[in-house]
Amino acid sequence: MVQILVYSIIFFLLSGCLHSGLQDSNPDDPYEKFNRKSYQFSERVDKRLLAPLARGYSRVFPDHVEAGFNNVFANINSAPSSVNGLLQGQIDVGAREFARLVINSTFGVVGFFDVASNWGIKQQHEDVGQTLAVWGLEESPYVYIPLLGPSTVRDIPVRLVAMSVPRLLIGEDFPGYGTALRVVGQRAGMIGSIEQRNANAIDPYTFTRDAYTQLRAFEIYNGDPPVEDFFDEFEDE
Amino acid sequence: MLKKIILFFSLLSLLSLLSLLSSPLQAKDQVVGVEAARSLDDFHELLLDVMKSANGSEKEQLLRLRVVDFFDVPTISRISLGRTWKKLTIEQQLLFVEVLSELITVTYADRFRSYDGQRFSIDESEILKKGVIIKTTIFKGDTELAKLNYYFRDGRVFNVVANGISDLSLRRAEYGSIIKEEGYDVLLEQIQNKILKTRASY
Repeated sequence: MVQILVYSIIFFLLSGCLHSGLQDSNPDDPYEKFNRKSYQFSERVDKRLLAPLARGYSRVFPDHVEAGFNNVFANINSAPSSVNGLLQGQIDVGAREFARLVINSTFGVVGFFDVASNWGIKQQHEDVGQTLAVWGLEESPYVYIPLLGPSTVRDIPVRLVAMSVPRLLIGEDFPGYGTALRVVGQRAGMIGSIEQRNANAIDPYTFTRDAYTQLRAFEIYNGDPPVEDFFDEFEDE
Repeated sequence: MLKKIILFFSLLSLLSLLSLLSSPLQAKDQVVGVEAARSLDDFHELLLDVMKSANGSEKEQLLRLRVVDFFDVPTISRISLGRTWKKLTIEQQLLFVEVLSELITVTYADRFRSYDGQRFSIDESEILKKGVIIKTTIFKGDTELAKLNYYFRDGRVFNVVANGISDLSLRRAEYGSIIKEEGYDVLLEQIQNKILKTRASY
């Protein structure tokens, strides 16, 4: 409950910042000034705290243990994923995610082992943001949430509430260090991607924004987003 | 009743005619798809050679010969720079194409550093209004590493989408942002610095 209250306060503070005159004229990124500051702050924290912790975590735990921890949290997420699949009218996805939750929670030892994938029931992540997009709220301004990373205004409550899902579902039995373990584990899983971004990007902020926006479209359209016509702009002139 | 039968057969004839007319188009599309897949197959062979080659300069040499044939670098440059492209002189455009070709070369040399059982599979194709997408997967042993979709137009690649992320879209966003904030000259300088940095890393 306290966690939800804290996240709600962060949400309202963020909304306040976004609407406090920091808006920019870039149509792809109307809150760019705020976002860039938030990105730089988060990168500094990541460099000094989260990245070293993630590297240490990766060194301490063997790959299969690391994958096991990530599987536990992915398994917990199967519950909201199943509900969102149904809300989007994808009965098969809802049923599949529910089956994954049951199989992995039992045969997979509370989700540590992804038995369902071995049985051919592959994960398909669905969340409230994707549901809202399917319901018509597809376009939403980009926002970089301090410490939590890239998002859209539509997805802010989703990102904040998502952090509370394990405690909401498991209750008081969910250990206090669980959230920390989840955050560090997620960051450890991104070591390779972030290294690749830093190696390739000329403007890492814009790279992150565009990659996130594309990935989100990929998720919303279940891996088959509309093909962009890059030539329209030139050939119509 | 007779009218309905005549109408039915007229519609049937029309559908047959339409299917006959569309056959050459489908055949042409298939040829385009097959040619693109063949070109991609050759490129995959090249990437395997690049991974197996001993040093950075050898990798670059192998890639440099093929990058300009396989990728449509002038089109990539034009789309990446947007409206700025038209404001450049011919000499500046040629220089940008040359620099971008070099960036693509060193990026591939960096990404395909060593061979560890990687293999490629060509999965399917999708015909576009203008061009074709060839969908591929890269594996390491039995583990899927990434899904790579190559966008062909006029026989050459102008966009690669890796697990849903388009490199052309990323380039356009990044370059547009730098041009807007700092100007074209700074962008060119930053790309040249990136080439040097990437080259120093392998």
